[in-house]
Amino acid sequence: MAQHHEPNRRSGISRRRILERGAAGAAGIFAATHFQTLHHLAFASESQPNSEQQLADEKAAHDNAAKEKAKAKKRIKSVIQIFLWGGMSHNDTWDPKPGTGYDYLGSFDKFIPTNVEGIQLSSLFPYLAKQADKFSLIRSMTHGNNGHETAAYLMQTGHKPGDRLAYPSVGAVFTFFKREEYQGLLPPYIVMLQAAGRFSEEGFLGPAFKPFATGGDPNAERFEVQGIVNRGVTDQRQKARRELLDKVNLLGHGLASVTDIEAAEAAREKAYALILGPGREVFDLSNEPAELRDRYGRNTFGQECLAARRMVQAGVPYVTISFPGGWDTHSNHFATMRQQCPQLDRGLATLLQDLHERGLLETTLVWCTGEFGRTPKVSWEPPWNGGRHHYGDVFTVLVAGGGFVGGRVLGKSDQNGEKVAERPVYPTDLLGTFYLLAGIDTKAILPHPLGIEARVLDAESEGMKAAGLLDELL
Amino acid sequence: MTNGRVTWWTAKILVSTCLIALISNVLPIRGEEPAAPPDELAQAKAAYEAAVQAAREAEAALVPLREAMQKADVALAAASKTANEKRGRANEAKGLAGEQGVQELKRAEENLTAAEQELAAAREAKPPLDQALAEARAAAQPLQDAYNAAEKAAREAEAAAKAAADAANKHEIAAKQAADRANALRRAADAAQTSLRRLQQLQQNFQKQRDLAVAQLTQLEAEKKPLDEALAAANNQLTAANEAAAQAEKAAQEAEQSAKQIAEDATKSEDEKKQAATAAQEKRKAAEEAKAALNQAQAAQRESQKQVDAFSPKLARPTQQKSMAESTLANLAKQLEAASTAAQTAEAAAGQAAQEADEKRKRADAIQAAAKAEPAADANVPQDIRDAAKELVELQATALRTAEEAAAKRKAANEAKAALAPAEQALDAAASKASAAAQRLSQAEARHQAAINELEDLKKRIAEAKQTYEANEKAAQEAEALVPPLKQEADQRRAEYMAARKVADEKAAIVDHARLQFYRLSASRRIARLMESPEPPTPTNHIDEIVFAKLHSLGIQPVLCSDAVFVRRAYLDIIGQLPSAEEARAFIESPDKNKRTALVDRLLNDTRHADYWAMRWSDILKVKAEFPVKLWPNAAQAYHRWIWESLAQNKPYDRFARELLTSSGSNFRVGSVNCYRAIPNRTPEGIASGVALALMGTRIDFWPEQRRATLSPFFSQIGFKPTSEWKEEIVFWDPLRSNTAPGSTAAGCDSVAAAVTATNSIPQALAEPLAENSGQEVSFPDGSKTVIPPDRDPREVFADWLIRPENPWFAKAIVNRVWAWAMGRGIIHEPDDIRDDNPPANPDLLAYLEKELTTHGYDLKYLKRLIFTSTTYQLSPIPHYQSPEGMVNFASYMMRRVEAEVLADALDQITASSDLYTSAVPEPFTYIPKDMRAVVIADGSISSSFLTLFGRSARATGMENERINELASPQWLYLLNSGQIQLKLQTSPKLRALVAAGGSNKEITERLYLTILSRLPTDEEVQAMEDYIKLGVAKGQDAWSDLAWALMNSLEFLLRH
Repeated sequence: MAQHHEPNRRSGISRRRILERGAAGAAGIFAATHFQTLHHLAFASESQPNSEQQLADEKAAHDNAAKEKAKAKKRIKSVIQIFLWGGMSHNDTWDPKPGTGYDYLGSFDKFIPTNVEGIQLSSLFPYLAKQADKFSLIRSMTHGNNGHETAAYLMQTGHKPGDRLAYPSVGAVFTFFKREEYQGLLPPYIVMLQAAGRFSEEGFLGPAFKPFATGGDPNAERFEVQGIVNRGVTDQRQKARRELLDKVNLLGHGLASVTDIEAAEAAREKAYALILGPGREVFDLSNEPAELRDRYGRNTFGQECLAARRMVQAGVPYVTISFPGGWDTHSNHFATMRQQCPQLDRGLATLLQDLHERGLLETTLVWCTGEFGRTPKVSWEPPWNGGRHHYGDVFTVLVAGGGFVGGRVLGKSDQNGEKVAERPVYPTDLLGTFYLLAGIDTKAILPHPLGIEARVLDAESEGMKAAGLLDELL
Repeated sequence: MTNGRVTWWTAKILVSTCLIALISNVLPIRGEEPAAPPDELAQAKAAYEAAVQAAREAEAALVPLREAMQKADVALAAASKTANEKRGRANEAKGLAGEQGVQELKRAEENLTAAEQELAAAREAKPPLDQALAEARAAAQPLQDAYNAAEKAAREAEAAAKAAADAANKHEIAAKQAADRANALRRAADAAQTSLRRLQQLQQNFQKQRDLAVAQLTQLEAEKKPLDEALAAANNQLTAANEAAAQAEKAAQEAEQSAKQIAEDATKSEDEKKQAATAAQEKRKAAEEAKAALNQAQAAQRESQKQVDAFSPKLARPTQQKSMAESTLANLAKQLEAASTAAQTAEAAAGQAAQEADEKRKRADAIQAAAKAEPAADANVPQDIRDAAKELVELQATALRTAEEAAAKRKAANEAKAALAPAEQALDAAASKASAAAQRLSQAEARHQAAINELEDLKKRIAEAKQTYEANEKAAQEAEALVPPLKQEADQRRAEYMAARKVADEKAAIVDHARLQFYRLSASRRIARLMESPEPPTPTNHIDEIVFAKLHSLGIQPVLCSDAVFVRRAYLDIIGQLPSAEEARAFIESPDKNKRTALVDRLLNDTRHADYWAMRWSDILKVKAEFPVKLWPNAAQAYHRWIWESLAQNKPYDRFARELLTSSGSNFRVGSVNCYRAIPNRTPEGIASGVALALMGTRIDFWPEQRRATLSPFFSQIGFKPTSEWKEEIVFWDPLRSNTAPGSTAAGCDSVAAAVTATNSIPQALAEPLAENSGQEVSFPDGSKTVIPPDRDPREVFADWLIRPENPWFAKAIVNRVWAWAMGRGIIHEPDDIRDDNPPANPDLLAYLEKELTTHGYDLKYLKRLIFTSTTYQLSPIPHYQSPEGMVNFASYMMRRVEAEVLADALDQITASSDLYTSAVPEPFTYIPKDMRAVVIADGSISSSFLTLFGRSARATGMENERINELASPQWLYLLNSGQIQLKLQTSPKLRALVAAGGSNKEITERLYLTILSRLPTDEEVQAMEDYIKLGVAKGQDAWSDLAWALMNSLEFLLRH
């Protein structure tokens, strides 16, 4: 594990290290078939550092290694995506930079070790520090885009923004490919509490793959899920007025043998399975022990994490938690962080622990990031008075479960967290690894209404950068 | 849904204009209802009630099981937590007790060994260094002593030399001291003189001042003297006048007294009396005169006094100056006296001192001269000088000698010091080495001690850890042992609960099945009576003749819809709105035989018809400000306005199409130019594809390559050019592809050339010869050929070809589209998929409609009227046939969910509420006035979550199927149970008013039915509401709001029918 913290300089030595690691990580067949390529790599790198050919070879080596390793893994069944809308600072959280001074650290100059030697976090994350063996950090995530919508599109689709196609998000794609497999009652793609709004998650896949937004608040006495749990209507009244509807629904019942009407009526029965039947129990958090609810944190985010676990337990393929409260801290940065980080820490740490204890983490991918990081240097001047701005050059992503090993750090940012220092990871590398672990072919064609050829990922023809799948974390 | 498992996906079947598949049971035609056994319904009802009872019991049985399960869960969680904690502690302790302890012990022992070695080495190194230090010290000592002695001797000699030198110089020194003293006294005397002179100067100044003041005083007093004299004279005169006046007064009084006495004295004659009176009068006159003189004297005296008084201040200043100067002078005189004395004394002292100094100097010089004289001084030199000279010579010799001695001794001392230096350095080096060795030794000792301590401590800790570990491990194992039985218990309870749950779910499924059986049976017996008219359908126009002939050949007998169904249908289809309760009632109750045609005519002339059909056209033409069309808000509004006006004015369709194809100008000002801008792919191929979809109803992406390519040349000369206004864009004919040339914004060759001349810059394309543009030979998709002349916009050439009655696509596409919008399905399905292998269901019908349109000047309203007034449009929604041919031949009205916008407006209409429509981009956000209907929103970017959920067109492709009129679980969840719908119903002022209008329950029920379903309730429905009120679950307004809820969730509300 320690070798992942070793400098990965573009030199013969580190190339050999990759070679060793690759050979050690995969079966003998791999070593035999790829030895030649890798040998060539080691040789070429000394004469022509950073050449395009070398980068392409490196990417191919990563891709191949990842594909080999993925063969031994169970497929991802569910995904929990925690989206930190607005962009969370990496310096202040999961890529701490001790000793960079007040201009970079601001008031967060304390750091804590974790239960994994060599991994350090900001002292704002004591609970996650105890679970570091369950997650890995990618500290060299980069796309260089500083606009909310375009960066969010990049991080959630892996496609180039501003192209003429509006691609679906990873959640919609995942749901699309799980449509045969998933036989549950709940919507297959759920977002708590509201969809992002400015970014169309379903893209051209259409409304069937639009996420179901729960609304309500799981931290309230009753989690009033939009359309499922309704304030002020008792079960008794629900049942009574349903009977009234049966009595007046002459056309629906009278022509129920007409296929379209039968389908509409069936869909209503289905909705009632959620309103009055077993479906809604998933949203009833009072079924959980009070002690566990406390551990998740008695706030909206904490209880969203708990609700997400219950949904995953019920088989829901994709759950997005849009962190309540944004991270777009141009001003009032430090106060906002002080308030939100402890909630994120508690909720996420407990979620990982809980999934692990129930044996769900192996097949459940949890990933957490915003659309970008924030400027490493604090803007102390007015009107920001201690703020951080959009920053897409480098930031950190947390991944756990679903085939990813825990307790590792991939890549490195430079001294102040301003540039990628080692092993860049692009959106297409990240999402490509997710799809790999989910058994989704990234070259598969998605159905476009006009018959336009659109693939799950298409970095090459879109001219997007890619540095290879994340074999180091598998 | 009653068989198989219900999942999220099973409900995702599209409810729209898609296929209605085979119908399992043929529905009876009205009047031919099969006489079902009367007990069938009763049986279904009994089965339903029994199932409900069974389900209720199963549900009740669940409660204790659930509680037991939760209890077991809690116990398990607590035990697991304890076990986890203990395990955690054991693992922590295990650290030192296990391998880690061994490792650390090893490390500590290694530490100690290393420290011991270090200590030994330090101990060994120290003694030789100490010895070296002692030797160095011994070597340095005698040298130090020698140096000390030499230094002392040198210093003594130097002191002696100095004393001797002083003695030799004593005369010289005395002379010099005397000179110094004389100089000092001279300076004091000079200072005294200076001081004296300054005082004298002051004295002179003040004397001058005093003299000046005295002179002024003298002059002023001279001026004052006459005034004083005048005053004295005036005083004298006054005194005299006073006396004179007093005497005159006295005389006058006496005379008056006397005159009075005489007058009273009878003895006196009148003359006497008269004389006396005259005398008195004279005296009085004299007195008065004297008094006047007195007054004059007084005035003169006052005047004089005034003058004297006025003079006095003039005297004050010189007087004061004089007195001040005099007092200063007195003072100065005293000072001068003292200063004078002091100066004299100082002068005397200085003189004396100078004399003494001079003498001493002379003497010293004489002694010096005598001492120097060779041979000895002559006899003229006094004896004492000669003695002194002799003494001086001796003293100088002594001084020279002692100086030489001192120098010799200093040299000896320096040599001793030089000899000492290397020994000292050696000593320092030895000392520092010895001290370092000592320090190393003490450090090594400390480290050694620390290593010993650490080892001991570690051993202790390991022993403790072993002990703790064993205890913790034992505790952990004990705690862990408690978990499995609890887990087993919890699993068992869960299994029991799940089993019971399954039973309850099964019972619930039986209930659902029985419930549906019952209500379906019940409803199917009543539906026809409600929806259908007993009148047999007769053909109204030629459409009906064609359609009915076809139906006849299929063996289908069509049925007319009821008036209630028709009024709702016509409103929804023509103006996209529900009829009001009053409108519905009036229509239903009207005896007019021609009322359906009259209603169609009225609605087609309503501007709301333009609103509604403009919305549909906006889908096709992609009126949207933002992604992916990106018209920009102003342009979207301009485009929509152009569409709306075209429809409102019933613009002939050929003109409508030509304007779309050939307009040039600003996107903000000429709405129709946005036709090309709304096509995201602005290549000639992309534009050809978009134009063909919209105006030819065909998808050229599926055409053979060669035919597809024919269209591109017509759209290869369209220019798009920005202006200075933000996001304004000019669309124009740009044959030279010169849209990079500045200023070239107008259409046509000439203006481009003019712009080039005006700006004096040559755009890229002009480098090509103009001749290349001339006479392009092209072919059309129908195979015909033409030449595009160089002076014609190719778009116009295309329009000329397209807009002709005989064009294979143009008229066909529009009549089919209008038919589809009216009837719910195209004669060619889908309406934008015209191709050879997708033939029309009824070619005669299509041909007839094409002919009607082209022969009536492309009058769309005529066409719509033809369709909406046909009997075919008035057929029942109930399909009484088995063949799928029936549906595609319009044997019954196509039921389909109302569009998102229409549904939103309908919900607002029945509740009198409103929705918020906004666009999130571009900022600032766009908001639409609250009372604006969703149907009239121009811009597809302005939306709400409701419109999105209910499948409003994304306006990205211009295809008909972009609008998704789905009725699946997400839509149902919203309609059945969302907070928004609940709020709309509960706070609706309209529902409140309908109830508050009073009357029997039946009357209120009627009002709600007319408002929401545009019909009157049946007796059974009135009874159902009576029963609901009696049930008492919802009371008062809540009960009526539940009825409204049930009606708006019925398919009769949600589907056009």
